[in-house]
Amino acid sequence: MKTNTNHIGHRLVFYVHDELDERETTYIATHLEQCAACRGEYELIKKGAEMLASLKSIPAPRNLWDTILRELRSQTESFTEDSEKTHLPKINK
Amino acid sequence: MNRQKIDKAIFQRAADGDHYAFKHIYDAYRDHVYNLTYYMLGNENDAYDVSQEIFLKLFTSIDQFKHESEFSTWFYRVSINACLDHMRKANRLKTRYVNHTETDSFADTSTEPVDSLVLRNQINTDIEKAIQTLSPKLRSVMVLRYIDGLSYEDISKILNCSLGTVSSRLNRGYKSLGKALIHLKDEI
Repeated sequence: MKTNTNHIGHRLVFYVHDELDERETTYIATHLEQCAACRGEYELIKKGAEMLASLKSIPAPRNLWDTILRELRSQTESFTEDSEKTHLPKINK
Repeated sequence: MNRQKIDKAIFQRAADGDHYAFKHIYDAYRDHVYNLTYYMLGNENDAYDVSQEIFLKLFTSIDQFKHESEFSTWFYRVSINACLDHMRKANRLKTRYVNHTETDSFADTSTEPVDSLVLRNQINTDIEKAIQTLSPKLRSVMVLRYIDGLSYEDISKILNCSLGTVSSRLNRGYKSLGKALIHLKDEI
C-alpha cells in the first residue's frame, strides 16, 4: 500500500510555477518549512520542471515541407504550385 | 518557443485550398509539431513521419476547424492523437512504457571533464530518455507544457480532461523526472 506523504496534493505544481495567490503561496511555503516529506517532493517536482524547461528545441528538418508537398501531389492530381500566385483548388478528400 | 498569431482569414484561405495560406500555418507550427512528435515518440524517424502525417491531415481537414476553440487547441489535439495512434500501431505502449513510479537512473558515471556542449547534449539525452519512461498520459501533459508553455486550462481542453487531472499528471511527471535524473542535481 502506498503511503501518501504529500499533504499539499498536486497544488505543489502550481506553487513551483508561481501560479497561486498570495494566501495559498504563504500557506505552502510555511508548510514546506515544517514538513520534510513535502519538502522532498517539492525539490523533486522543482527539479523535474527545471529539466523539462531546459530541453533543447529541435528545429523541424528543412526537407519536411518538400516531403509534405510531394505527398500532397501524389494524393491529388488537382494540387499544383506552378506560380507565385497559385490559388489551389480544394484538395479532394 | 514563440509562435506567431495567425489571422482568422488565413485559416479560411487554407480551407479554400490556398497553398500559401497553408504554408503560413506550416511555418508557424512546424517546430512546435516536430518537437511535440519528437519528445512524444523519442526518435527522429518517427517524429518526421508523424509530423508529415499531421500536416497532411491538417491540409485535408482544416475545414473541420470551426473556430469554436483556439486553433492551437484543436491542432495540438490532432497532433497528440496522431502520436498516440502511432504508438498504438507500433505496439510500443507495452514495450516502451515503464511504470512512471520507477526511478530508473540514466547516470553517466564518467567523472572526466567534458566540453560544455557535449555535457549539455548528454543532459538533454538523459532528459529525453527519462521522458520516454513516462506513461503516454503523463508524457502528453509534459510535452504540451514544454512545447508551447501551454496553460493548465489549454492542456485540459486539448486532452479533454479536468484541470485537476492536468495538475496531478504534471505533479507526477515532474516528480518522475526529478527522481530519474537525480544524478543531474547540480548540472542545470
